[in-house]
Amino acid sequence: MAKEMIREIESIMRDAFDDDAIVINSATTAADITAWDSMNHVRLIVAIEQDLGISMPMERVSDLQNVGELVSLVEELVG
Amino acid sequence: MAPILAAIIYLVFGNERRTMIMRLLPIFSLAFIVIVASTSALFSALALIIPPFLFKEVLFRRTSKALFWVFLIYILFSFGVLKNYFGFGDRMISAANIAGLKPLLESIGLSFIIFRSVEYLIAAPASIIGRGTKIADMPFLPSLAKRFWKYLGFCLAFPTFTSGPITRWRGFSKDYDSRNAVFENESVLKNQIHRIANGFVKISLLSQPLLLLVLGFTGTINTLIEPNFHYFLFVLMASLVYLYFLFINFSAFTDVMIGSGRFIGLKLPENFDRPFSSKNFLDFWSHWHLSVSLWFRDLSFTPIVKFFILKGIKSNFLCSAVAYVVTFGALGLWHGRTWPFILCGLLLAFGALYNQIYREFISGGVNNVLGDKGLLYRLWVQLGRSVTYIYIGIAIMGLWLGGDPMAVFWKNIFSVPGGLALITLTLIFTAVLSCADVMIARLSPSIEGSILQNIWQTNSIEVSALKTVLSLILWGWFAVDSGGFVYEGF
Repeated sequence: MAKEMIREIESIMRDAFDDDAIVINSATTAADITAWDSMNHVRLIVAIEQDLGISMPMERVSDLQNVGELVSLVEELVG
Repeated sequence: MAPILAAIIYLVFGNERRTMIMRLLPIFSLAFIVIVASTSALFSALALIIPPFLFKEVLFRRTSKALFWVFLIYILFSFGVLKNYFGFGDRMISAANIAGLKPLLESIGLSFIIFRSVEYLIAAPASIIGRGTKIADMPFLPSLAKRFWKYLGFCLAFPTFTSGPITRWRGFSKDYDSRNAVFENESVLKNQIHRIANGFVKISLLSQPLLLLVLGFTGTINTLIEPNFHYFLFVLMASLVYLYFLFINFSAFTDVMIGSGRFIGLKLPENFDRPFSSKNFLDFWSHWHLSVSLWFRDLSFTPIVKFFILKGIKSNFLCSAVAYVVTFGALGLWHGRTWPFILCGLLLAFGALYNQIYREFISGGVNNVLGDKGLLYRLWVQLGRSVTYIYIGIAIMGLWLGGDPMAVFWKNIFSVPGGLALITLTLIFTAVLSCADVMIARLSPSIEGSILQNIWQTNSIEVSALKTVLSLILWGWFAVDSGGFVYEGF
C-alpha cells in the first residue's frame, strides 16, 4: 500500500514540479530534489489534495520530515 | 524568574507528577504574569485571549468561513488596540474618559499571546469537543471548562509568556495530555540544567560585550556630524554587530526558556538552527527565529500561495511576490508601528523576492560560469553570505537606531561615500567569513577535547551551577541600560 502511494505521489510530484525525472522513496527529503522549494511544496500539497480528494491540516503538513511521513499522513487521511 | 519558578515547581511536585503540574500551569502562569509584569498586563492578556476561545467554540458548532474571517479580524483589531497601534488605544480611552484603563495598553507578552490565540482559532481540531481531551482527571469540570483551562495554559504558559518560543497547539496538546514523567532519566535532567547554564554564559560572556560594542559604535556615530564615509562605515558595522548580538542574546534567552519549560513538562520548539551558516537570504530565514518564521510560513505565506495556486496562477514568482510582501510586511509591523519597522518589513520582502529571482533566473548561469566547487565559486558563496548578513543588519536597524539617525542614514546612503562604505564592508566581511571558515576547519581538531570544550559541554550539575553563578555575577558587572533580553519588550 505504502509503495503504491509513493508511486502515486511521485506521479503527482512530477506534474507539480514539471520534472519527469523525479524519483522518490520514503527517505527522500526536500533537500534531495532541487525543485522542491517552499513554493513548489505548496503546489505539491494542493495537487495531492485535489487528486486524492483530501484536505491536509496545515499543522500536520508543517511537521512532515520526509516522503515517508507524507505518505503516512496521506494514507491516514484517505482512510 | 521563569527558571526559578520552574525549578521550585519541579522540586515541590517531583518528577512523576507531570499531569498535576500541567493541570496547575494556568495558575502558575497567572501568578507569574502578576509578579513579573502587573495585574493590568494580566487583564490585557485575558481581554485578548478570552474572545478567541469563545469564537472557536462557536466555530466548533457552526462551521462558517464568513464567521471565521469576522472573528480573525476582530482578534487582530483588538490586538492593535491593546498594542496601541496607530494610537487607537489612547484615542479610545481618551474618548471614554476613563484614565484608569491606560495601564491596559501594556505590550509585554501580548505579541506572543496573539500568535497562540490565532493558532488556536485556526488549528485546534473539532475532535477535541466532547472527548474531554483526555483530561478525565478533572471530573469536577464540565468539558467546556476543561477546554478553556487547557487553552489558558497554552496561551499563558509562563516560560513562553514574554518572548516565546511560540508553541503550537499540537505540540502543547501532546505535552498537556502526556502521562509520562517530567524527565525520562537523570541525564535528560542534567542536560536541561546544562542548557540553562550555557544560556547564562552566552548572555554574560558574549551578548553583553557585543552590546557594549554596538553602544560604542553608536557613541562614535553620534559624534560624526557629516554623513561621510566613516559615518556610513560605523553605522553599517554597528548594524552587523547588532545582528550577531541579537542572535546570541535571543538564542541565550531561548536556551534558558527551553530548559525551564522542560522542568514543568513542556517541550518548547527551537528558535535557531545555526543561522550564520546560511548561504542566502531565504536560507537565513529558515534558520532564524524559527518558531515565529514557521508560524508566519504556516499561517500567512502558505495560505496566500495556496489561494493563488487554487485561482490558477502558474507563476511562482507572482504568487511568492504577494506572499512575501504581506508576510514580511506583517513581520515588520509586529516589531513596531513606526516607519523604521514598516521599512524593515519591506526590505525583508524585497530580500526574499530578490532571492527568489536569483534562484529561478540567475543561479544556473552563475554556476555554469563559476562551476560549483572551485575557489571562485567558494568566494562567490562567501560574498553571498556577506551581502545577506549586512542586508539583514540594515533591515533591522530600527531595533537599535532611533528614527532620526535612521532618517539621516537613508537620506544619504545612496551617495558616493555611502556606496563606498557598503562595498568596503562587504569585501572586508567576505574576507573575514572566508578566513573564519578556514580557521574553524583547522582549529577544530585541537579544540576537540580541550578544557574549554569540556567546560562548555559537560552536563555535571556542579559545573552548571558554577557557570550559572559566575555568569550572573558577570552579567551584573557588564550590565548596561538595555542589558536584558531584547524581545522581552514585545
